[in-house]
Amino acid sequence: MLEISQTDTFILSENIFLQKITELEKYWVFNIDTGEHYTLNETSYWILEQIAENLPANNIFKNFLGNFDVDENQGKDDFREIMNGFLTEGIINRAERPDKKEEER
Amino acid sequence: MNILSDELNVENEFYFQWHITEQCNLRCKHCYHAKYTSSDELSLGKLVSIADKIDSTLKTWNKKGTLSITGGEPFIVRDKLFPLLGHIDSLKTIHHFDILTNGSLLDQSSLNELKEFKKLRRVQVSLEAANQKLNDSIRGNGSFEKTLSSIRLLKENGFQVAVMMTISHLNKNEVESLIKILKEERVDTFSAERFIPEGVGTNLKDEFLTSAEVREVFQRIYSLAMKEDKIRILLYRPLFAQLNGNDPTVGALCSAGNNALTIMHDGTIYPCRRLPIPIGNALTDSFYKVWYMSSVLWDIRNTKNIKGKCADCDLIPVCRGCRAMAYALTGDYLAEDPQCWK
Repeated sequence: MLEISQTDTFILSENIFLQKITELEKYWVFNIDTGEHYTLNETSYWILEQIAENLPANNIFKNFLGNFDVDENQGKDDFREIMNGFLTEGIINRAERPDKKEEER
Repeated sequence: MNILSDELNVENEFYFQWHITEQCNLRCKHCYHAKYTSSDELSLGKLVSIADKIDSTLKTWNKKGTLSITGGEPFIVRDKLFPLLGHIDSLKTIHHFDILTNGSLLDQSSLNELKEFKKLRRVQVSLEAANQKLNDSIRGNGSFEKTLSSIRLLKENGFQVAVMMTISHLNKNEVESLIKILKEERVDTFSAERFIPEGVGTNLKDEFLTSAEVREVFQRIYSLAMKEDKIRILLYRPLFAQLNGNDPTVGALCSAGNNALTIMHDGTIYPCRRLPIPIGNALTDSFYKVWYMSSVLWDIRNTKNIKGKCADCDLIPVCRGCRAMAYALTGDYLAEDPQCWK
């Protein structure tokens, strides 16, 4: 399972496109390159929107707890499970940390 | 997360209407084409590459593909038509295809070639009236007799034949007499499409039916469909659902954004041939990109966007009105269907 550190940032994979019809409570994520497509619940979609804004995972997690009013321990498990699902399906990637880039130089 | 296919495409079939040419030897007065030139027409190689793209898309979506190959008049470009059909025939994802033609160029040699295609389901031709003079006034002199000859030739050769009629003021009283002739000719299916004033057909806009007239014609077609057993009268069109919402064979959800795309002669993609808003190009864009990202398609999919009487209609999940009709008449593809009588 994914361990979420304070500084981890994730990004949407290339060719990933998000779409929602809020009035109908329908949420999707599409890979316009491979054609894969998934239907999401509101929570999963909300997380992807946060990732699209390049927020660090820890911030997203804090917002997640506040936004959905869930218990911290339960929320942590849910958040990890959702994030791992996105990683496994190739919907998100871990962003390279700026400090790591510096070290490599 | 669940695979989306059953939500975005309500059926297991996905339909492509493919206009491989704009060239045509007829000049029907109600035609939705605006010009009939060969410029920008794609080479056979490009047509085949689009067919392959259709195949790989359907494979990913796990959909059964159905195609209508048409024009213009597709038999004008027979040097491309037959090899393309041969290729389409070999694609596993394609369940069947139809050819939509005016029938005027069909001959025994063409039919001998068509017989080789296992997935060819039907050949569709058009007639506008049982009255030869009236038909020819819309489709051109001699077209009535020529179409009847083509129907006979097709039936003699064992093909399934479909006939389509485009209904306007000019021919709204011809339905019964035309169906009578079609039965005598052993035609398999009949369908009626509402006339939409676009392309060349804009000149006929005064012949556009009122909603009360559409209701009256649709009721007559529905009654015929219920009692005819020698010819199948297809009712898969928006608005028919109002006549019997409980029968899934009566009426159909507008296919735009639902389970169909139209490809034009130059690769341009429309949501539907009658809704001529470019949403991509089959040569340069993936069908995934078009299907997932087109704002026009998403506007239409969100039924809450549909305006007017369609917005409050309890049949919106199974009808949605004709978006092309709304667009042609009002310039807004989200407007209510102007011919709906509800």
